[in-house]
Amino acid sequence: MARVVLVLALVAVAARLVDVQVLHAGRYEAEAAQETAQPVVVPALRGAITDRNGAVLEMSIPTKMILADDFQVDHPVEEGRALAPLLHLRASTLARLLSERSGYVPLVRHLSVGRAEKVSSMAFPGITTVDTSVNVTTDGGVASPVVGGVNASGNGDAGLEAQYNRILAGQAGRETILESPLGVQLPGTPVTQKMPAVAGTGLELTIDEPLQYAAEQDLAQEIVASHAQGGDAVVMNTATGQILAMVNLVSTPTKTAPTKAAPPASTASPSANGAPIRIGPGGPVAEAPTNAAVTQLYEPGSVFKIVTFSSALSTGVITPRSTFLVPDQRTIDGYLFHDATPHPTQQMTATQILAQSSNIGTSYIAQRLGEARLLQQVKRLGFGKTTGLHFPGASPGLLVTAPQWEPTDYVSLPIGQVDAVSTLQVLDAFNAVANGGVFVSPKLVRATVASDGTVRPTPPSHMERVISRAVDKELVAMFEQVVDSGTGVAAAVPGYLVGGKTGTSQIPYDNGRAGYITGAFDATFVGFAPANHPVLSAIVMLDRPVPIYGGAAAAPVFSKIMAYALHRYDVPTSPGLGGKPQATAPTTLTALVRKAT
Amino acid sequence: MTATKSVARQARVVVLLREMPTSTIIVTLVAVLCVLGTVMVGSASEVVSIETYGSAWSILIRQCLWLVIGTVAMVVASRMDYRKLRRLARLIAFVAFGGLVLVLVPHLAVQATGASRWIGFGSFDVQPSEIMKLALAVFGADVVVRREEVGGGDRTVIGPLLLVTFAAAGLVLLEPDMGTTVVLGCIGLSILFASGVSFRPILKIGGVVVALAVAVSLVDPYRRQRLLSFVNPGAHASGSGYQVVQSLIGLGSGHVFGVGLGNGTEKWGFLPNPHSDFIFSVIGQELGLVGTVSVLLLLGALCWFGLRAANRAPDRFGGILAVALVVWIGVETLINVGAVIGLLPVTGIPLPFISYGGSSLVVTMAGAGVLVSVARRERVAGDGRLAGDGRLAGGGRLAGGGRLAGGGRLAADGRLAGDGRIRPG
Repeated sequence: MARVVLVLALVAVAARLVDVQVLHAGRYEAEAAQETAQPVVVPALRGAITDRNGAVLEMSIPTKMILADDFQVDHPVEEGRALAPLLHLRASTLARLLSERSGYVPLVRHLSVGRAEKVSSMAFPGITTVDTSVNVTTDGGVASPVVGGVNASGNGDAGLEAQYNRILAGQAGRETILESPLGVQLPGTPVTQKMPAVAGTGLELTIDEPLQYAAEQDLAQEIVASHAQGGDAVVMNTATGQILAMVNLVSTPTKTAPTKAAPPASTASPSANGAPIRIGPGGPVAEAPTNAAVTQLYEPGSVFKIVTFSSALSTGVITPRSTFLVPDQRTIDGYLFHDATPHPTQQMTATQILAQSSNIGTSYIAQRLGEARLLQQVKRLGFGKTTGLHFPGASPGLLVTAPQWEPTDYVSLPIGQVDAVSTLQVLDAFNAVANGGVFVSPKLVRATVASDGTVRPTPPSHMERVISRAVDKELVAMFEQVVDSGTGVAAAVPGYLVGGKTGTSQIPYDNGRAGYITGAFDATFVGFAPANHPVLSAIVMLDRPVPIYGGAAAAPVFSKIMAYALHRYDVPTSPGLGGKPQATAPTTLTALVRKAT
Repeated sequence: MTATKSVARQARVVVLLREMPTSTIIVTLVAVLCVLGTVMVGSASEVVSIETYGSAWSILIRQCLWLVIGTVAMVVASRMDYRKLRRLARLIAFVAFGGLVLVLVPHLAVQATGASRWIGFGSFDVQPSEIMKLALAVFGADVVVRREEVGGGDRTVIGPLLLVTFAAAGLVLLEPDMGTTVVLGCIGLSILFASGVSFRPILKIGGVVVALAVAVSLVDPYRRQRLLSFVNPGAHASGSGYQVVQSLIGLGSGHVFGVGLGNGTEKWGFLPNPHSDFIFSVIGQELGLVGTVSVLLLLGALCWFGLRAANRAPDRFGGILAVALVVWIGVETLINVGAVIGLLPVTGIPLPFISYGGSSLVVTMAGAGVLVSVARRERVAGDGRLAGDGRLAGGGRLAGGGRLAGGGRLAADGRLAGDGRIRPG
C-alpha cells in the first residue's frame, strides 16, 4: 500500500508540474517578464547652439556620473585611494564619502566617458556609472546671456536654452531592462529598446561670433575706462532684423589686488595697447547674468526723441527746417526743466533741436503735437510690447497712459524720462528709420539644425511700415546731422555716413523711492550706417559711465563696433566722403554678409 | 528487432536493480541528491548571500560544511549496527525533548521570523525539532518492538507511542512550527501502521487530532491567513499568497528545459527563501520540468528503495524504523513540493537533501545513514532469489495474524513482486 501511495503522490505532483510548467507556462512566463521588466529613460544629447557660421557657442557633451552605494563598499579607504586620481578628488574626501552610509552618494556628476570606463573596469562593488551630459561653451562663454544655460537636470533654464528647450532637449529614448525588486539589473539579461533616443535639434543663430567678440571687447574696454557698472550693445541687420551681435556685460566689483591674483598682464589686464580684456572670471568685466538688452528696462533719455520727431514730421506739425525760439530752461507745473548745457535763448531749426538734443525745443514740438499723438507714436514704434524675439523674461516696457498724463510729461516723455523701455526696443525703432520706415521684428535664430543634419530656416521677420518713405528720408537726414555736427560726433565712422542719436538719462531709484539717483546716468547711442543706404543699425548703452554723456561714453563704442562690422561685411563706403568710389555693390547686407562669411 | 532489444535491456536493468544491494542504491541516490542540492543551493542562494554576508559564496560554503558534517553523520550511522540504536533510543529521545524545551526558553533560543526554533552554538544554530524526527523514529520503533516482545495488547503499543508523538508534536507546535508538527505526526502514525495495530482507536484519536489541528489553525490569525491564502493565492497575491504566486511564476517560466542554471530571476528577491523553502521553484525555473521531475523521481526512488529495505529488513525493529525514516523523507518532500506547487499550505519544511539548512541536512543524512544500515543487512538468498520468502516470515506471521494492514501489505507486496518477476528469470 505504501508504494501505491508513493506512486499516486508522485503522479499527482508530476501532473501539477506539467500543468504549471507546460500547459500554463506561457502565462507564468509573461508574469515573470512583467514583474522584472523596468522602463528606463535614456537621456538624449542636447542640440548645439552655433553662430551663423556654425561656430559652436554651446553644446552638449556626453559624460558619466559616478555613483556610490556606500553600503556595498567594504574598504572605503582603499577604494578611495584607488579612485582618487581618476575622479580628481582627494583620497580622504572619497573615503569619507564612501563611508557616509546613505546608499546614494554622487561622487562626480560629470566625468569624461574615458575616465568613467576606467572606473567601471575597476569593478568595485557599489560603484556605478550613469549617463549624464554637460553643456560646454566655447570662447569663454561669448554671448552667454543670449545663449542662456542648462540646469543640473539638463533643462534649459535661461536664454535661448530655455526658450527652445523643447526642441533642443531632443527626445529621450525608452528601454526596458530586467530588474530585481531592489532595482538591481539582472546580470546577463537583454536590454529591449522601445524607442531610441533622438538627439536634440540645434539652433543656428543670427549672431556672427567674430563681430560678437569684437563688440564685447569694445564695450568691455569702455566699461573699464569709464568705470561703468555694465552695458549692452546690439548690432542688427537693418533689412532683415537679424541680430548680428548682442552684448550684455557687467563690471565685476572686485577690489582684489591685481598684484596677487591677476593673470599675466599681457593677456588679461586692460592696457593701452589694446590687448584683449579678459571677460569672465578673473577679468574686470563679465558676461551679464541675463540678456539685459531685452529683459531690463531703463529710461532711455534723448534717444526717445525719435518718437516726437517722427510723429511731428509725419503729421506735418513741423518740417526739418521749422524754427523755434528756444531758451535753455522752462518751468512747467512748478517744475524746472533745462537743456543739458546752458545756452542763450536762440532760434533753432527742428534739425538743430534734434542735433543739439535740446530738451526745451523738443518740448515745444511735443506740445504742438499733443498728448494723444505722442502716446500713439510711442506704441507705433514698437514700445510697450515685447519684441518679436519672445525671449524668456523679455519685458514689454512700462508706458505712461492717458489717464496718468501730467503737464510735465510734455518735457519728460519726449526726452525719455517717463517710459521705461529696453535697449532692443530703442534699436528696433531706429532700425525702422534706417529701413526706410519699415519696422522689422528682430530675430536671433536663423535656422534649426536637426540631429540628422537637416537645416530648416526660420520664417522671415514680420515687417510693417510705420513711417512714410518721404518722412523717413527727412528723419535720416536729421539723424545724420546728430553725428555730423551735433551731440553724436564721436559716433562717426571714417568713410561712412552715420546717422543716430545720443541719450543721457537719469536712473530712478529701484527701491520704490520716488525720484532719481543723484549723479547716476545711463549713456546711450543708437544709430545706423551708412546713412545714405543703411545696412546696419546698432545701439550701445552704458550703465553709469564717467563721463556720463551718451555722446561721450556710448558714441565712441558705437563707432568702433560699427567700423568693425562695416569692414567685416565689406560694406561700400558712402559717396563723397573721400573714401573708395561707390561701387555697383550689393545693396543688402544679407548679400554682403554672405560674401564675408 | 530493436524493440525486442530494448525490452531485453529494460529487463536487464530491472534485474540489475533487483540484484543490486539496496544500500548501494540508497547511498547513490542520496549522493546524487546532495550534489544536485548543493549546486542548486549555490545558484539559489547567491543573491540572498550577497545581501546577508556580502559574498555570493557564503551560503554555499556553509552548505558545503554542513554537507561534510552530514556525510560524516551518514557514514557513521550506516557503519553502525542500527540495532545498537535501540539501547540509545531513550537517550536520543531525552536529548531531543530537552532541546525542544530549551527552544521555548526565551533567552536561550534564536528567534527568526516570529518563531523560535533554533538553539545557538557559536555561529551555528541547531534545530532540535530536526533531531526529534530521528529520535521519534528510533524511539517509536523501539517501543513497538519492546512492547510486542513483552506481549502486551495493542493498547500497550498505541498508548506510549501516541503519548510521545503528541508530546513532540505539541512542543514543536508551540515554537510554532506547523510543518514539522505534521511531519512528526506522520512519523508517529507510520510506526503505528507498520506495527500492525488495530485501526479503530487510531481513527478515533486521528479524528480528534484533525479537529484540533483545524481549530488551532483557524484560531491563530497567522496560520488562518496562511491557510486561506493557500485556498486562493491570487486574492492574497501581495500578502501571504505572494510566495505561492512567485513560486508558480518561477516554476512556470522555467518551462520544460528551464532558463538555465544560474539564470533564474525569481531568486533576485521575488521569491522568499529561494535557497531553502522554495528551492524546488528555483530548480523549476532554472532546470525546467526536466529538473523538477528528476528531483521528484530521485526522492521517489529513495522512498521506493527505502521501502524495499524495510521489506528486506532482518528484524522487526529495522523494518519499522526504515518505514518511519522513509515516511519522514517522503512526507517532507510532499509537504515542501506541495507548498511550492500551490497544492498545500506553506509551512516552511525543507526539501530533503536539497534545501539549505544545517540541522535538517545533517539529521536527514544521519537518518539516511540509519536507513543504509538497515539496508546493508537485507536478507537476500545466495542464489539470487529473495531470501525474503523466509526472511519475511516475520511479516508473514503478522499477516497471518490477520490484523496487520500496513506492515502486512508491505511485506506481501514486496514478496509478490519479487516472486513474480524473478520466476521468469
